[in-house]
Formats: sequence, C-alpha cells, structure tokens
Amino acid sequence: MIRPTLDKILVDPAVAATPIARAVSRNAGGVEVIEAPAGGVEEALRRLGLTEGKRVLLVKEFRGRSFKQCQGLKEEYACCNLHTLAEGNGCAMECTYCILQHYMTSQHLTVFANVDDLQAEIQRAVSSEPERIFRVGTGELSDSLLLDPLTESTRHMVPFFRSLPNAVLELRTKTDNVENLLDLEHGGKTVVAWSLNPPEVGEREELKTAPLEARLRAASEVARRGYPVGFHLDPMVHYEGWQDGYSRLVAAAFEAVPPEQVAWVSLGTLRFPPEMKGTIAARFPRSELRHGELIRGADGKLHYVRPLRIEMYRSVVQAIESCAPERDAGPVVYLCMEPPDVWKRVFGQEPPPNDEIEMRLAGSYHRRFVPDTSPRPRLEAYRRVRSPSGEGVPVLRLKS
Amino acid sequence: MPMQYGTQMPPSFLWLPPASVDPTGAETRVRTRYPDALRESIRARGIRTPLIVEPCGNGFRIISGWGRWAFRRGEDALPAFVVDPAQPREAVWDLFLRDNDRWNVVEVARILDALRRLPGLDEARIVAEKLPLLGLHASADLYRRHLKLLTLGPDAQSIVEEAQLPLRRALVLLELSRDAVHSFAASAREHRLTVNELGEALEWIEETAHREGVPPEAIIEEAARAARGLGKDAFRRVLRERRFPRLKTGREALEAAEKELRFTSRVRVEWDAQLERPGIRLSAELADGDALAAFERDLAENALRLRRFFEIV
Repeated sequence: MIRPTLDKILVDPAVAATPIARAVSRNAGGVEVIEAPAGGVEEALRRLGLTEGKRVLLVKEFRGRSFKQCQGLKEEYACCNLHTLAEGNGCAMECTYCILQHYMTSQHLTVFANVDDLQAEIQRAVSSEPERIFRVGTGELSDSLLLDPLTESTRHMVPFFRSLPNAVLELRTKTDNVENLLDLEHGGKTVVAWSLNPPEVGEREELKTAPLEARLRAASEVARRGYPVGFHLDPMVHYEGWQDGYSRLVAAAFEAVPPEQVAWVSLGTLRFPPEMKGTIAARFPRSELRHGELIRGADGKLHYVRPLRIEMYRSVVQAIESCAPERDAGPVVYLCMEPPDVWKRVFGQEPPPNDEIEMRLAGSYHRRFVPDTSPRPRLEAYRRVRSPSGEGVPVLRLKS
Repeated sequence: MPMQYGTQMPPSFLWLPPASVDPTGAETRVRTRYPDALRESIRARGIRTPLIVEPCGNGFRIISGWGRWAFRRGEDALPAFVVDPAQPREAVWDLFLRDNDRWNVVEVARILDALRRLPGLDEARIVAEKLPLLGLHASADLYRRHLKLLTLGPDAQSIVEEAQLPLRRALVLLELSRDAVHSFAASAREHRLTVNELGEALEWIEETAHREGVPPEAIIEEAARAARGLGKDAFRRVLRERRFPRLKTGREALEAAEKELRFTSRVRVEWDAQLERPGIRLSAELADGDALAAFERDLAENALRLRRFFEIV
C-alpha cells in the first residue's frame, strides 16, 4: 500500500465533524492532527516548497464549483469530454513530469470534506441531462486513491455513483490502494483506472508510486470484484527500447485484466510547459525526460516531435490490438490532447467530433458493463452547442 | 521600491564629501555591473536618490548606492541617509534590499548567501521574510536553486549576468565544465547571440551532451567549426539539429523530395520546419490560363512525388 509520509494533518474546525475528517483522524496513525481554520493557515502553507508541502495535509471545505469539464478540452484537440470532480488537490507521490509542480500555487495536500455538497453538485448536473452518461474523473489535481486509506472517500463516492443512473466515476491512480473498494457495492458504476508506464520509466520518473506489478495486481483484484478497469498509458516516454517496453507493458496489463473487463485505454505522450524543464532539472537531476526530442507545440507545451509521437502511438495501438483483437468486446482506445491529424495518422481515419467520441466511450461502457441499469446513451443527447460563456448546452434542451 | 525605515532607526540626512566615504569593506556589495542609463543620469543631473551609509571610523561606509558612488561627479557632495551602526545587521540588510530592485539571479544568490551568514537568520526565515523583499515567491526550492549558482566559475557567472539569464537557463551552466563555458562564451560573443538565443543554445548543448554521453566541449567545438564564416544561423542550426535529430532527418528527406519535383511554372514548396503542422503549401505564380493548364498537368505528373511529402509530414 502507498501511504504519503505526513508530518502534520490540519483539520478546519468547520468540517471536523464530517465523516471524511473523522476518518482522517481515525486513520492518522500517529501523525499529529491539529484543528486549524483553513483561512488562517493557508497563507503559511503556500510558503512551503514543493517537497515540504507534500508532507502536510489540510482537510477543509470546498467552496465553488468542483464539477467541471476536463481542462484538456481545447479547440485544437480531439477530446473525450471527460468531467472532473475536485475531491482534493496535490499529490505526495513524486512523478518527475507532474504538471502539479507547475500548476499549483500551494504544494500541500488538500482534501475537501464536504462530500455532501460535492455529491449534490454532481446530482444536479447529471440529472439535467438524463440521456447522457457522464464520465467523472477525480484524478485531475490529485491521485484518486492515494489518500483513500486515510479519508475513506471511496466508501462515500462509489455507492453514490451506483445510485446515479447516468454517471460513472473514474478513479485514476498510480497506487495499489484498493482495499476500501473491495467490499463495496459498485454496480459497475465505478471504473478503477491505472496510469501505467514500463518499469524502466516508472522506476526513474514515477517516484514514490506503486511499482507496475503492484498496480497490475490491484487492477486484477478489482476486476475480479467486477469493477470495470481503465488503463492510461500517459505520459508515454521515449527511451531506448521503448517499443519493446510498451509492448511488454500492454501484454502485462491485459494479462492482469482481460480485455472485456477493460472499459477504455487512453494514450498520451509526454508533454509539459517549458517552464517546468528547470523544475524537473532541479528537483530530479536523474530524470531523463528533458533530454528527449521535445519541441514547443502549437499549444505552447513541450512535446515530442510529431513523427515520433505518431510512431509511438501506432506501435502501442498495434500492441493493444494484438492483445484485444475483439474490437466490440474490448476497450475503446483513444488519444489524449492530440489534434485530429494525429488521430488520423494513428487510427487511419479522421476522429469524430468530440461529442461523438464521448458518446462512443459511453456507448461501449454502457453496452458492456451496465446495459440494464443505465439509459442507453444516444448521440442526440451529446450534440451540444456552446453558449457564450463556454458552458455546454444540450441541443435537445434548447429545442424544448 | 520606496524607502521604508523601521520606527527604531530614524535616519539622518547628510551631504557627504566623497573623501569621507570608505569604498572598501563592502559587505552589501553584490552588483558588479551598473546600467549605462544610471551613468548618464548622474552625469546629467547628479545623484538624486540618496545613498544609504553607516558611520565607520572617522567616515562612512556604503550600505546601498554602489552604482551611484561609482558614477559620482568629481567632488560633488553625496546625498546620503546615515543609519545607526548599532542596528542589527539584518536590519541593515533589510534597508539595502528595500532600496534596490531588479536583481539578476547571480546577485540574488550573493544576497541570499550573505543573509544566511547573519546570526539568527535560518533558511525558513530567509525564505519567508527576505525572498518577498527581493520580489520572489517565498519558496525554499527557489532559495536553494539560487544558491547553487554560487558554485559557478567567474566565466559562467559573467555569462549569466551579461545576458541576464533567467534562473532555469542559468542553472544549465552548472552542467558544463569550465572549458566548455569558456569555449561557449567565445562563440556567443563571435556570433552575437541574443539573450534568448544564448539561453536556448546552452540548453541544446547540455541536453545533447547528456543524451549522447559526449562532452559539451565537443558539441560547442563542432558547431563553432561548422559555422566558421557562415554566421549565427549556421551556428544555431548545427546545435539545433544535434539536439533534435528527427527534425534534421525530416528536413533532409523533405529537401530530397523537393528536388524530385518538376514544375514548368514557378512553384514554391513550403513546410513546417518543426514538422508539427501536417501537409505542405504550394504557391505558384500563374500569369494566364495557359500557365494554369500547365500547372494542372504538372500537379498530375508530380502526384506521386508529392505524396512522398505526406509520408514525411
């Protein structure tokens, strides 16, 4: 099990009585738990450096909108339209490429304890579009399961999503912290997903994470308990021997979890803002990432030159096809943060519009995992127009 | 930054004869280069911002205002605030920090190094209290990364200061040997690299050397040799293509494909040198309908050759 090394846990008195805060206190295991108003300590926490920040956990209330469209959504990309739920911020693991090093203004870990509010927000959003299946990920600004042994958050979220007819929770992790999941009634409405890289990349670039075999053992375990599983080969890293490394990785993943139990597989190659290069060099001198053939793309981020990305994707897609030859029975494979022309070179055809990509993911998931308990997704429900504020508005609702 | 003083140390204002100022024992001197604009301003209008000094022996020593001192006009009296020498050194340094801004990264490193030698100032306090005075985010990582710059040799520090390199690029110099820094400095001067070009070139050299396991000196030498007499663009191209071999391969393949094309009219073929944008752009100069017809025939005849481009981009 992967547990963060914490020096202190700060609990805002406003949430001290919540089930999440109580679970944190119960599971703290000797770490000092202090009641402190979030407003009073956050300024001091902001001053902590990247390394020190990861040793402090703040449990507080979330204010604002926690349920959003994934930040990856950009005009130039073909996109899967994932939704994200902010259950917390920050991560105690040390992936050299982690965008949080650059993105977060505070490096301490935060858990939002007002689960009822988060759930009410999700309920409101998904019930307004009942013919659409929302895929909701919690691993955008944190790892979905890293703090679960402390917070027991999944004990609240998994049953909640089971009760929603048209939403599926995706827990994304690099840990093997699945104990809390094993005895839960999930109804197929939670996909447990792992970010994977070959061991030679993981050992150098994904520090303090569970090793590949532990992740795959955990994936196998939850698959046996009926959970749909997801795999994210993202970020794929170019290194000497990468073809062999990623082929073996794909084979190991599908050996751990049979293709029919895998909901989806996403692929993305290494990318990060140029400013992060210095951070990586300073914090992880042994990292090889910044020496790759990374150039600045149209989105301003550094990524591998296009011909190399295409070569990497094609190779992995081939490996997946050889492990999961039954296309309808196996996972949907898609690219993350890539423009349509790259999709075309990888899959041999233009990608459909974003709404249709989302529909295909939902359709495959529905057909294979929850045909009887969820409404069948229909393309019309996914065709949306955009309001001036950028909020998606379903066409159907506009017509009515 | 406006001058601020603690309530316990009201400074007195004096006009000092230059002879009363002792320019040695410069505890707070961290800047070695001063802008020409300061020299011009003092030459034209004299010193308008008072120095900060403290009594020392029979005279005064400078806490802040070394540039003003260096560019003073002859025997003009110097305006100065005189602070109480009994103040803790930390308070003196605070005055210095508040009186200056726009430090380069090496200067920041020198300041942090001096601060950490003061009694009672540990890393946590410097990060929390002093970095903001320097206009920096209160981050321990930032503090430590700045201090690493002090391990650079004088040549490397000089490159950083002359080019005003940002921290990220300055830290690259740590990866180079003294010989490599020396050789790079010579090439940078010869080709008059801009600040951005200099930083970019440094990164390319260090990253190529690391990836290929070759000494950076060899890469610098290779680029300098290949670019001799050809100028800056050639120097940068050699470095860039060593750093991004796929771009080089792509460019060579595209150039070869272009040579295969046969057009009767004047046609320009363009592609994205970064190979990021797919496809090619053809621009033809067509004078009349006959030229158009000829161009159409050319396109048909070149169709297979043009497809070669799409395989590459």
